Amino acid sequence: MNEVKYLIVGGGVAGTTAAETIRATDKEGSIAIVSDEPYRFYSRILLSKPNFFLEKIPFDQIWLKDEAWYRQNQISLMLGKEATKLDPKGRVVSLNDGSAWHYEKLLLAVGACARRWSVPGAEKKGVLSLRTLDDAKEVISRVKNIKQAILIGSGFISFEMADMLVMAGVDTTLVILESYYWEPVLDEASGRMIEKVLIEHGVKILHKSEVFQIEGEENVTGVVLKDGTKLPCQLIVAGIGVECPLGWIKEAGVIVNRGILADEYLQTNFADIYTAGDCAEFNDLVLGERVLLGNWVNAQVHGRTAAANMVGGHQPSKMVSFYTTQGMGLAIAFVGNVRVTPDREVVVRGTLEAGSYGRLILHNGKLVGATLLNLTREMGMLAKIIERGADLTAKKPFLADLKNDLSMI
Amino acid sequence: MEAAPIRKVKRVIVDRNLCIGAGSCVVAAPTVFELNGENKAVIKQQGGVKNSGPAEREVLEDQAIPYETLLAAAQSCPTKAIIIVDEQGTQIYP
Repeated sequence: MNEVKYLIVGGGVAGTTAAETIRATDKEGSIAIVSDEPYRFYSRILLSKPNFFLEKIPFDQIWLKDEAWYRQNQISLMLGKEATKLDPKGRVVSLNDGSAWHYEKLLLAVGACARRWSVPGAEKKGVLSLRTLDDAKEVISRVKNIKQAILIGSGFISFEMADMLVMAGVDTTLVILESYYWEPVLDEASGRMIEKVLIEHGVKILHKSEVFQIEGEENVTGVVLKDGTKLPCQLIVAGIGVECPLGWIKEAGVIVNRGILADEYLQTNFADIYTAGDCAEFNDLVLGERVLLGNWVNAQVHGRTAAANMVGGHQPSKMVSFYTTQGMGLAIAFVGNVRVTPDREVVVRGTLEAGSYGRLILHNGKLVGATLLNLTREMGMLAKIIERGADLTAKKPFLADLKNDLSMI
Repeated sequence: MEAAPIRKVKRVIVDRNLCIGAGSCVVAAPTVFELNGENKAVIKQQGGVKNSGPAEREVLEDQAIPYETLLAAAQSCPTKAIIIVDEQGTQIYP
């Protein structure tokens, strides 16, 4: 049996930030990170960015910690290993290499995996999701030699991939189930605004369409859609969402839903087991609900918070989460909780004609989130308003007019 | 071993080509960084000036920002787009 004081499962931004934060306080306690990938900490957020693909950002920019950093901080890194079993009473994690690790505090920062695409032929070469550095390497090597590509799904990944493929001169078709881009997360006006820039840049969009089968021998050569349409392609990137790989965690008795359930201190139902990042379904004090968020800053803040609590602190995770992207002259930003449930109300700010279009989402009169097209300059202010939690019922007409300065709220 | 001398930040720069608008710097040092309309981080300076710099220490809007906070903001960037230079003109990060 190996002994380690702090065991971290997951070597991404949540796990690595946690290790760094633990070491800043506890100079002596042993720390070990287990990662199922063969690489040390890298910038997962960079993987889908066009400038990275087209090598305008040097490839080595991907590495966020060098090997010496792990050594200097006495953090042992076990790469290419999977945790297979957890015994929360005995405080033991077993790995697929047969080793067992006894811990004092455990952090589950296992992230999310790309959802499996179950279309016949999805195992062919050139059919990819974009979640790991190996996926990105495959796309980089393929994009130089292809004529046509197909993107599946409407979201951040497809938008960024479309931008990259257009820049690379690849004929790109977007195949989406929905009747407009990003339905139902966005309203139709926002979706059409995104589609307009995609189409202007030469991307073809097929709505209410679904792939029936993928063609090719070893490598993908095309797809057949459910309506019988055949499209040639040498690359498919499926941006159809993520899911959390929680089997061994659930079996151990850790309570899970879509993610690992945790309170605002990122503590699970076991006092010495914490969770952080994309896999943590935690009690968000700002939003007043339990949420599962998949973005870089959230994972970073989670890593810091979980670590602070693992070394004996009592600090809640409190931030308004956000994610942005930009391409083809359009800046997209989501802040807070952008889900529009029946009990929520949307105030539209700006107009399509003005080129800036925001949707402010209110719950019981309080701002809980916003989707912003060409309005990122207001994101910081909106985050502050969400955090403040003031009743804006009487301010709705004010919010709707782009000319009004939000700092006056 | 002698204690390392306390270093002071002289200059902050955002490399616009590297910045992807992840916003880690905005979370780590909200009085210094914000995202502009193009999703790029800008440095908040006196007189309402906001740009990618180079911004000298003495023109920052937040004069009291600790060295550690600025360095942590730079270190939190997922593309290493924030450059910090010390008083000797040495690049501290990245």
